[in-house]
Amino acid sequence: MSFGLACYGDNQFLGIHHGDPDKAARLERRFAQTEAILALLATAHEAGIRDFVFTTHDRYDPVFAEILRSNLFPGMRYSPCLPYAHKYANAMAERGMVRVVAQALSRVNPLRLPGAMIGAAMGRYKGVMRLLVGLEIHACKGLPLNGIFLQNVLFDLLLAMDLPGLVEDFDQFVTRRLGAIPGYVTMNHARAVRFLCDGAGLEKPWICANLNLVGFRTHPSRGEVAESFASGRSRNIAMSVFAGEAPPGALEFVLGCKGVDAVLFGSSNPDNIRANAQQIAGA
Amino acid sequence: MTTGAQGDVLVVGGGKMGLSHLAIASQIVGKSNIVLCDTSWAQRWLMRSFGYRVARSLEAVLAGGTPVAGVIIATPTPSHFALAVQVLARGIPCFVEKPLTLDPEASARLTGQQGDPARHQMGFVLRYVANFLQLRALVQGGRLGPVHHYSALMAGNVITAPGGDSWRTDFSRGGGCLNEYGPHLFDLCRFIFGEVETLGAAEAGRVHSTRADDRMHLDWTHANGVTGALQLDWCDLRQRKSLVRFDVHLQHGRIEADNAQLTVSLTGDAPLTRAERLAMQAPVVPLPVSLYLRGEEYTLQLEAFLGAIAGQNAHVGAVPHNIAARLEDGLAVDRLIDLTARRSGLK
Repeated sequence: MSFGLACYGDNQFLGIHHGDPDKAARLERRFAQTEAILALLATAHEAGIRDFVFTTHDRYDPVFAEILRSNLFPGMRYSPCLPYAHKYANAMAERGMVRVVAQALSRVNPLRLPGAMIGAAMGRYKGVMRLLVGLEIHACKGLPLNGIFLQNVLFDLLLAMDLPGLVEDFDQFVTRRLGAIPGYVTMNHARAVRFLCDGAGLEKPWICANLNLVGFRTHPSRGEVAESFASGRSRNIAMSVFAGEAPPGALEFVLGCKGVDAVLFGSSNPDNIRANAQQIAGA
Repeated sequence: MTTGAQGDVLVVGGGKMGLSHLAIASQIVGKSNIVLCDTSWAQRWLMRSFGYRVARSLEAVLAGGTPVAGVIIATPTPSHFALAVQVLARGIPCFVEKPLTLDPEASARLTGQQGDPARHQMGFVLRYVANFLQLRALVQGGRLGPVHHYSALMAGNVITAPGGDSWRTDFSRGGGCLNEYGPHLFDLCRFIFGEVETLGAAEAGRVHSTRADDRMHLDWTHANGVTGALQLDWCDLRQRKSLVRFDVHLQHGRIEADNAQLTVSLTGDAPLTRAERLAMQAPVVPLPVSLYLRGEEYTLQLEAFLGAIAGQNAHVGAVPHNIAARLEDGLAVDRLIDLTARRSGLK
């Protein structure tokens, strides 16, 4: 199991643009329309991209329903990143983590709760984690899943709190029960490698992290992240590759780095999607 | 880095901010040096199962007599005074989330008993956003001439529907847009343009909340004569996450800066060298951090606080000196919040 060299991301669909809040707001409005998302997915598919990596946002419910209903994009594989943090952010501030998790679990079939809750009461969170993952990927039911990623807002929290056991549980669940590739989005690549390999005991985990020419969010430094990519201890997806308003040579820089197994990029421009897919495929 | 023999770092409050601080501090001083104080049994039980030491209250830890290197207060604002006063009385370095308190007189009592001001810090996190540091450097550097006027906006989609009965929508308990966004923006304005001297008009607006404000417009004049117009809005559905934006008009140009970008437009007669012009057009990259969790600025402010406790530089990049907000800054902001609330009829 693996990812294609070029993966299509979804920042544009959720109104995320790291360099321009106004453009972000315009994207947010534009892609509130299901058809607008489907049109760009079609462009990516036509350009030969076969991996769509996205965040578990409610916006995709009608998108995926239409893909399934109309048998769109044959061969495309889907990789959710979870959770979409903003839907929990306000609740976290008002009610705290325990109540937020409890509220989320209230949506689970009650028959599945007792076992998970007994485990949690004994400090074992495998059951709760499985229920939460199931809730998050519910909208993907019926789609061919390739990877399931922990989003950096959650993964980097687990890393910071040094909780490798939870990651190990997630890894086993995704691999064995869901038959997908477990992956980890992080802004701290070098720390993540140590945490996943030395702490959780994982073999060559898939890590998705920033790598770009201008050193945007390559913590603690671009050099250390590039070295960590090249260490051979993980398989790596480079993201934010066009940071700094796509400076000349941005993609060439990333494709020239060792240890880059795939490139994740998002774009709202069909021409850019085609050009990037072609350049990455030719690397 | 470790606080070692100096003792533990206490994080008081295990909500969203407390959890964020706890996680970042764990990587800076080590998980074994952190203690979470939270009144919630469930929260304590959860964090204990995650390998953290926990306590029911700050009082319980302080009474226990174990050495405490520093305290991070991240509880709802009404409890800040009662907690901070205990910490300051013992001469322990104290980090207080914004705002300092809901009452300027209480805030003044805290600053009055703090001892060395440089040991304590306010959680005015936006000071560490690279674009605002650059804006401050450009304004205070003077190469673009004096500031004529600026506008400042903080907008987000915190409250998107009527209803809700938490402290967040109750002004008397520290909720409302002025209490939530005001401290951030007010402190940034002081940080960049200097002390505020005169508050002009202040008008509160309501969208969904019945016991607090959802919007605020105000204008003021700084001690150096610079005038500013401010707008707060936490019901802005166009924003995915909070946006802070400045539009600054100077003698030789205009600077537009927000969380993500900074643009300098120069007048034709700006007396700048080519090198200076190029430097002003270069993209601003966030400062590097030892651990990124939810924005570089959150890590940078704790690197500053915890580094000062340990007597070490915990930053991994070049961070400007003396930018940490002090309790006096918290007091000054609380006074402005109070004045704005009275002027707009919230108090």
